[in-house]
Amino acid sequence: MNQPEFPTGSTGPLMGGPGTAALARPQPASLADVLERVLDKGIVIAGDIRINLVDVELLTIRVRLLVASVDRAKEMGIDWWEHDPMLSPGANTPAGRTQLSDSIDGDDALHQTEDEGNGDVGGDGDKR
Amino acid sequence: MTADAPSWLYAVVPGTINEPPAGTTGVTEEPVRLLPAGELAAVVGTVDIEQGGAERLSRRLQDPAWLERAVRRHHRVVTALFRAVPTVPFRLATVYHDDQRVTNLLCERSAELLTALATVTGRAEWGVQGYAIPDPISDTSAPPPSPSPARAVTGAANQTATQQPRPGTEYLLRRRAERSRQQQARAAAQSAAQQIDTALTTLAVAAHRPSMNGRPADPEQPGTLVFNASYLVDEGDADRFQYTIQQLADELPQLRLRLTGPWPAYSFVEVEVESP
Repeated sequence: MNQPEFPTGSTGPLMGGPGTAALARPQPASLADVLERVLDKGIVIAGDIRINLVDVELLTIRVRLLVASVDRAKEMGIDWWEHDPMLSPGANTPAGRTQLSDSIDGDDALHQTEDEGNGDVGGDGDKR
Repeated sequence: MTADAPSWLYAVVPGTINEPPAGTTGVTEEPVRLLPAGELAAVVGTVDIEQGGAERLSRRLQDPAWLERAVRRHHRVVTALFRAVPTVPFRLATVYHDDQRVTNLLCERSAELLTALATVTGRAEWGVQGYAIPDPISDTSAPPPSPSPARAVTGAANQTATQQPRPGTEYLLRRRAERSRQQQARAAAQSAAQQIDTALTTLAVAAHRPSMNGRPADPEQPGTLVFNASYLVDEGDADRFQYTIQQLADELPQLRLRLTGPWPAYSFVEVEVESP
């Protein structure tokens, strides 16, 4: 098997302390961890159908993380979006941005589950 | 453009694999298939795109709900493969007109892809982050430094001569204390980062240290990110790697170290290839 074995057990923050002869346990991956890899890494080949991911990732990552976790972030005093010119009120909105706002407002699939309904790439009608 | 049966390319694996892990479905819940090509095999799924597919696909990817779903499903396919065989992940949304185009790609670029496969075989990627734990003592809202306690105990006469600082002086003292605190914090963070990277690079085949500039903060993680790197580690060294992380955590109590993995080696297969 390709995957290395490592100890099972609770996954919590790495705790220090003298004499801790333990193996650090991996933490659950966050969406940010996955996005960072799937959107930015891996073999980068210009396929037949050219997708401009740069614009997508810059805006969408910020907005996605924002919408999913804003309450928790604010609890922790994180508020970078309030100083981000792209996200502040009155910022120039490119056409694509309006679509984003629309789908966020109407989309309760943000509290996501896997394998939701119609994933048809070509379909415009798969609103939740 | 005709795109009757466009193939979404998830990963490349050794040609010896017979079939993808049972029940694996892709970004549009399509079944995932193998396209063998000599020593390699591509893992693909047919995605349903109508005319004008490129623009439509781009639009879908700008829908954050759709994007997140696609990202998770793509990653799920890659991870399921990684648990079974050496896997070279492809970036999201690598789409070809049809299966034949993908097979052509594998044949034309077999040398580079075989190299990438060799790079990932028997290895995994591990992510390591360090977050500075906020220090309440150096809170910027704290009052400026006051006369030392020793003086207060021994110098009663001096104390009566001490005056209240004026507002301007108080402000300058506070600013100076804050600048000093920030400089110390930066220096400490850099020193810790160096220590971490030196220790882990020793145990890894390769390291990837992306710039943290412009990186959006992860709202799920408290503290300030001061270290972020990925390491490609041989399977046999994974335990030692994790042990070293724990040692570092013990030695650097001012940081919260966060380990993620094992990941498919996304960060170590950056081969940019132009399509034929």
